[in-house]
Amino acid sequence: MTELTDLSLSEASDMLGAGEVSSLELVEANLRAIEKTEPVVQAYAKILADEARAAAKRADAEIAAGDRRGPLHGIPIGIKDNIYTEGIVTESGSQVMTGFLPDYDATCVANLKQAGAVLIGKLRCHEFALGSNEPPTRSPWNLDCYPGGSSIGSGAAVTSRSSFGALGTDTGGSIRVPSSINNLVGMKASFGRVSIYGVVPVAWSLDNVGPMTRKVRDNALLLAGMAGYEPKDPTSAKQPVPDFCAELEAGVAGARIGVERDYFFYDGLQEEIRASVEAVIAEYQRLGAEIIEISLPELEITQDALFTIVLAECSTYHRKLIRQHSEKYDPSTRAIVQLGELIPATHYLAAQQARSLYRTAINKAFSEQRLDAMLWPTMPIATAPLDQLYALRADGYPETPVSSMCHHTFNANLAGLPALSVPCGINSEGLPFGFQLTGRAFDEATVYRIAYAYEREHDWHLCKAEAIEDL
Amino acid sequence: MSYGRASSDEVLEPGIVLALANKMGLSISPEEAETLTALLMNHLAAVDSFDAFDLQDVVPTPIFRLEASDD
Repeated sequence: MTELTDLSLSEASDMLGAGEVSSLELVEANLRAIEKTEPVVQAYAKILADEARAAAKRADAEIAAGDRRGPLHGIPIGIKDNIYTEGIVTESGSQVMTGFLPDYDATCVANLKQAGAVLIGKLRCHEFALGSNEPPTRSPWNLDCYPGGSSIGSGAAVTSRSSFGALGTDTGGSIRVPSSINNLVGMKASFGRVSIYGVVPVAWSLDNVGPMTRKVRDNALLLAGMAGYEPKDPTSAKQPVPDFCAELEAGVAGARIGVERDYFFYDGLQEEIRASVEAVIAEYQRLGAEIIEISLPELEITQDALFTIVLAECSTYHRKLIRQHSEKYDPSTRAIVQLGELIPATHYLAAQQARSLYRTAINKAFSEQRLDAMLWPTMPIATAPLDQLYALRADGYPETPVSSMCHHTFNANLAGLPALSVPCGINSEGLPFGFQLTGRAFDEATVYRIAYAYEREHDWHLCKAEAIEDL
Repeated sequence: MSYGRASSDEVLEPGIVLALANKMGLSISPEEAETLTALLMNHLAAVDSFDAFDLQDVVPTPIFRLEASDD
């Protein structure tokens, strides 16, 4: 018999709708997985066992009464711990916020509750989604390896089958990086698609909240449940939330997919990932898509531009806190926050100029080449051992793993465009990786459609993390 | 101890960073000042990379509300 936790979110949802399983059974299955994996993986900041059981019983009663709100009703979801949850401790991985009890839900959480989702727990993150993660959350694929951050607990929990889906946040890749490392589907949607009201900020002009799941359809359902305009949020977009699944199975015949090679297929791209992503490109051609080679030299300044913006904006948020609670910050976080205060305003604005330049260039490429999406690897490496993150890469390429991990992801935050990581391989060391699809503003539906066309031809998403199988 | 930029002879003294940070109300130790100085030098070099492109007439427009027409 299939374990309930082996069901994807959408499969569990279908069974709930058909009366073949209850929300309480799904919650209990997740709690058993938590009991089994948490002693070694350490994905959760707080496990909401009693609250989840109570919410599941309410959901089951409503569904039994014929009042099913939608596909997320009764589905257990984990929430990154930098996202406010009313009456539930939210600490953002920092001693600065120890014991903090929000008196309201972040809009994305309120939307999920309205859709009937069940909160199974708060998931660990790097301190303020910037700094340390101690003790370290461990990769379910290899306990000695880094599972990707800053949504580090979100990726590890969904992989550990202790949650059917999770919310992450992404300022420079923090949804897509752990999704790639954990063999998950992760979406950084268009800037403003999901409100950041009630999310502890990293950088206001770059922050996103988004879903991390096992399959594309799961991801589309979860995004639809959390998205929507929030008038209290000046970054929130007045855009209707479409049915992201409506055209999911329409295929890619005639789709135009852009591929940039100078930046994304650079010498630092590991050969196994290069070969797999080339195979993805070939697969899309076989399925009827047209591959368009594009040039985007402005990509070269995206990393420095994003770093500069993050430093200036995050230090502005922390300006009072760092003076009141300096000793409570981990030294690595404190250094980032302090550094931002030393950056001249002219540098921040120069970075915003660089951002404008890049946004103009990528939007021009989309329109002039009539592209539906762009495609590249999510990361140039799979991951790295926890104790090697800041050393030079073991394969000899002169970058640190941490630097490599965000090489391919910053650009989408700068442009504000939707970007989705999709599993596409497992390397010779047994570590998964993904490719990334970037779409036009507010056209997540097309991104999902193109991603699903690949996913339904492959079974990468069915591969399970071996390091936790024998626990 | 000084930190030089790879492409020039310019240096920044950690003592200056320490004094500036303390003046701004940031509590940092001399050791942290050395770390901050190194990070700041890296940042200064990074910003130089923007000069590879002509930003003279580019208006900085941080996204604070993305519109569908942006595509």
